[in-house]
Amino acid sequence: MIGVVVGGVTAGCLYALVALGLILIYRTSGALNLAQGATATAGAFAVFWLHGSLGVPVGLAVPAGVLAAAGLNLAVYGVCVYRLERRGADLHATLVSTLGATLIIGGLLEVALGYDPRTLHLFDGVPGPSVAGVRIPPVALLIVASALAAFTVLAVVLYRTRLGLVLRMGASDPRLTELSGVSTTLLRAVVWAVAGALSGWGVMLFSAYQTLSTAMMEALLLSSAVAASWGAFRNIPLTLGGAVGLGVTTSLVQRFVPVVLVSSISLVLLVVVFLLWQRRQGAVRVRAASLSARHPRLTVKRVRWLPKVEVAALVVAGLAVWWYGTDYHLSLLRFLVATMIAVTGVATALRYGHRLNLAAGGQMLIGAYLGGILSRHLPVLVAIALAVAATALLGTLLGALTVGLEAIYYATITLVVTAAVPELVMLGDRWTGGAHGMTLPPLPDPFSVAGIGLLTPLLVLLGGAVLAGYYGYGLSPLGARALAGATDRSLAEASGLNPVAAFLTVEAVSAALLGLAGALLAFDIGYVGPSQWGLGYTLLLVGAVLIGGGWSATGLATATAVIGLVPTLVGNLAGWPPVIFGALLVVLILFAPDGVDGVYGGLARTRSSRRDPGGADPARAAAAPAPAEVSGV
Amino acid sequence: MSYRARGVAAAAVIALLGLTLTGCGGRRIADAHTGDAAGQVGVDVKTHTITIGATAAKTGSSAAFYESSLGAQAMVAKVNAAGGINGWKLDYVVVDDGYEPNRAVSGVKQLVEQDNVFALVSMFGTPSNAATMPYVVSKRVPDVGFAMQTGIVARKYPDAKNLFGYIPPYANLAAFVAHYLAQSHVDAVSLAYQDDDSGQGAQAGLRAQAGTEHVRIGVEVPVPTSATAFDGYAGRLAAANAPAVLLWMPPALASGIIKASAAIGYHPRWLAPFFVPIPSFFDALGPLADGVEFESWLEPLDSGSAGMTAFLGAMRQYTSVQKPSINAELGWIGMGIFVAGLAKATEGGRTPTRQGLIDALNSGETIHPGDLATAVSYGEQSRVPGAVLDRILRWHGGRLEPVYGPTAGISLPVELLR
Repeated sequence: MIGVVVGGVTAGCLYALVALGLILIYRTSGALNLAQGATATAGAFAVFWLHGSLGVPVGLAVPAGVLAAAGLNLAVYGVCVYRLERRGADLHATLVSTLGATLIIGGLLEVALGYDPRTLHLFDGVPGPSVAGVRIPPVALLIVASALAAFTVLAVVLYRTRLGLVLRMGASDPRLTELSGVSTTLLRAVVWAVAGALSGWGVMLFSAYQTLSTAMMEALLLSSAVAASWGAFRNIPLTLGGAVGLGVTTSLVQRFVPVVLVSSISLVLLVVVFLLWQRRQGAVRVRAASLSARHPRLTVKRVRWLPKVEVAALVVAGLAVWWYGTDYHLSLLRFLVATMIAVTGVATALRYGHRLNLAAGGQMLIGAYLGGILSRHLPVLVAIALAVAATALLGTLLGALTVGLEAIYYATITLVVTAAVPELVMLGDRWTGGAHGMTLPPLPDPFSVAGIGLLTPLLVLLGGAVLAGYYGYGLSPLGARALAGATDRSLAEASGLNPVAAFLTVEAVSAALLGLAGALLAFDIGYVGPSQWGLGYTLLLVGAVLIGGGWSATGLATATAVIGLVPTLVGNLAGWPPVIFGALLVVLILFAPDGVDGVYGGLARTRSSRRDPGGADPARAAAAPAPAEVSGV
Repeated sequence: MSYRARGVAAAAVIALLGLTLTGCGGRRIADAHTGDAAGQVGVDVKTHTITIGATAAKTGSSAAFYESSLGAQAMVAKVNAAGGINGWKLDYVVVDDGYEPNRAVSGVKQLVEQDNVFALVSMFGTPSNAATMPYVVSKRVPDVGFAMQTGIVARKYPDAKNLFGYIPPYANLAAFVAHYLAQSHVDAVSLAYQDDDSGQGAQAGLRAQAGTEHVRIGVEVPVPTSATAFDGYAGRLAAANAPAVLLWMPPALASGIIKASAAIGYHPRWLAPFFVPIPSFFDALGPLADGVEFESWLEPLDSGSAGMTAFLGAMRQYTSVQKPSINAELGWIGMGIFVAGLAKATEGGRTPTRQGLIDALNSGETIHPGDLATAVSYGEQSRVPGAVLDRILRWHGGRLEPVYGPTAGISLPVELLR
């Protein structure tokens, strides 16, 4: 028992070191640095290379590795974040640019160093102290000591020194700090480097405590993000407590719960406690009355232009492919249509709810599995319809639990959903087939005419309808209400709108679209397995939406092509596709923040302004109406 | 007007995409789920070339498995350098699937419907193969030498004559471990297993054989493949205190559990399957690896046999891999099965056809793919290997030493497989 607790504390201290880096960066730059794991891993791999291949002594290789991690994190700030900061970009933009950096660094590491797990040999043969018969490895002691030292030093620096005062001032009011003659850019650069060094040190110790493999980095980052959430990305002791609590809970669940949900149980448990705590703290201020508030009669400013041409062009192109294409083209077309529906689901949450739905992969799995289970007793189409409705219901529930939370907590909690669903699927082995996955019946083609199947064109039309609905929603009172609430909640409430109901509607629609996409993809290939759409796929979806832009059918079509076609086109460049995709993400988010669609719209606006200098972009105007305008004021 | 221009431009882009997709073609055919094109798909009689293909994890966190594809490619290069199989040269198309099931499915569809491959050869990975199999079975494309936990095939596709797996069901391999422990007078064994197809297959086999041979099962511990901390699992294993523990999981997880157990003073006899003994596993454990035993149905890389020498030579000559692992050996074996089947199908100058290949492989003849000791045969009733030669190796003094076998492995009834 003592050994289990000691192990849990050690793991927790490791999460704490990475979480500390996340907090420092979030508080100074407002960014959730997804590249933290990659830069830290790169630092650890630098040690393996220096020590293992070049024979540099460990005493020199380790500091060099820490410096490398710090330098890389600094480079991520300089290249991927600095420009966004100057532009005042939000959390989503930095999330995507650091995701791009993750892909680039991870891809280059794989190309240069291969994929084998590595172990750093520190203190080999040195017996650690014994506590109640349990021998504690020296590396474990070093991890715990490092975490305690880092947290103590940080607390002292932040709250007892002038530097800390400047740091806190820079975090709360950068403009005031600049006016005081302090360079916030320099401050942030230092913080990013320190965060990189801390994480690099932690991951390096982890590679000595266990074995470092790229597969573990995702889980490490997730656990650290949850720990940072516990400290509300600001409270240092609570973060340390959350991290150690997570480590110990995981260890105890591993020890005493004889089911496979070990990682999910501890994560979900902590998220639930966190939500309760947040509500107690008043972080979520939802007036129960507002849920039943009467809506004023809305007068939505009508926009003449509707992207009819783009939607129609997509549908026509799809039908052309159906008419002229081979079997392969048809299956590719169905795949692209379903992927586009998934992309639209993520875009809905992002555009109408200003939320990054990282539960996307999990919701696709829910739609596919529920459809599969129901199809054993019901016709396939009925099963899919019910599965979509159930996914929408679960999405609404998730929305109700997270309404009012800051974007970063929402992202973290939805991340946990995507991590937990596959384990729930495994637990329901009897219904889901567990690890084997489920074989599904084919999508029916009830309207076959003269031997010509109409399944594909019907799906193309469904895709067109989803696109049209996506834009139509924005122009409807309901969508306008959602946009207004997401844009400025207080003002929306003051204008008599009900942002909570609007938010829940967006959550339901987003989940329904993702459930539908999952079901269509799974039924079309005749199979669904628990590892089908994980965190990696979810991040790919989000990245693709931001590349495309999501403001026009062309933007969504671009996003779909990025997911559906790019991996196939560059698939033969072993190791390089993630690097290429990552570079694309970074370049686009830096230089074309509205994605391909933004470049496109920008060109159109330029032309428009030449003709009508006072003209505004009607699509944008429709997309982001002011609350007062929506309410008819 | 500018927005109309925008729409027109969008239409142009989309039309271009459409034309690219269709290859500017104009063939109207029925919807999906049409039957397989009979005849000489994937065979170019002018150049005497046969196009075959597979998806493989070129990228992603499981890209270490790509070495399997390199093993298959080494055999293709060797065969082509020797003038082909009865004069037929091979063109091997490999599509990246990132070890993701959905990408594997779209990759296989591309290979079958776009690239018109003659057969799928040496597809690697249980998740990918499990996802692609419904499609492959429905299209009746020969799927030869796929590497996966074949218990699934035995149970779900017993009548699919176009499937030719070669890795024994993991239930059989775990049963062999139970048998070995009984022979070694070990009375109890615990199991820690990765919580997926692979581990659950082993769990079924261990339970079945341990029950037969009166070996008690201490505790069964499922471990998610995403685990980063192992102290709790080690605690459960230590609490059961079985004298032996079978770790059916990837090397990184297995080394994590051994380390965590050593930290709490639990030192049982560790056993692991054939895919664990790779250099990074021994590097991670250092002295703790001494004495770990491995089930090994594959011919050991240091066997020195003619077939193994040819394999190692081809890897060095045709690929960048100088020290191949068992993953490369698996790819080599998979392609070896195809080569043997094609040689028989094209005997006497016959033109290769998919059905000819399927019939040749299903003739019941024993094949030693790539001249290795591993033997497989397929008939009307056997889609996957039954009892294979199996052995136990032990890591000692920096090398693997044989401690038991080779001897006939265990073949459990299909209903006991998972």
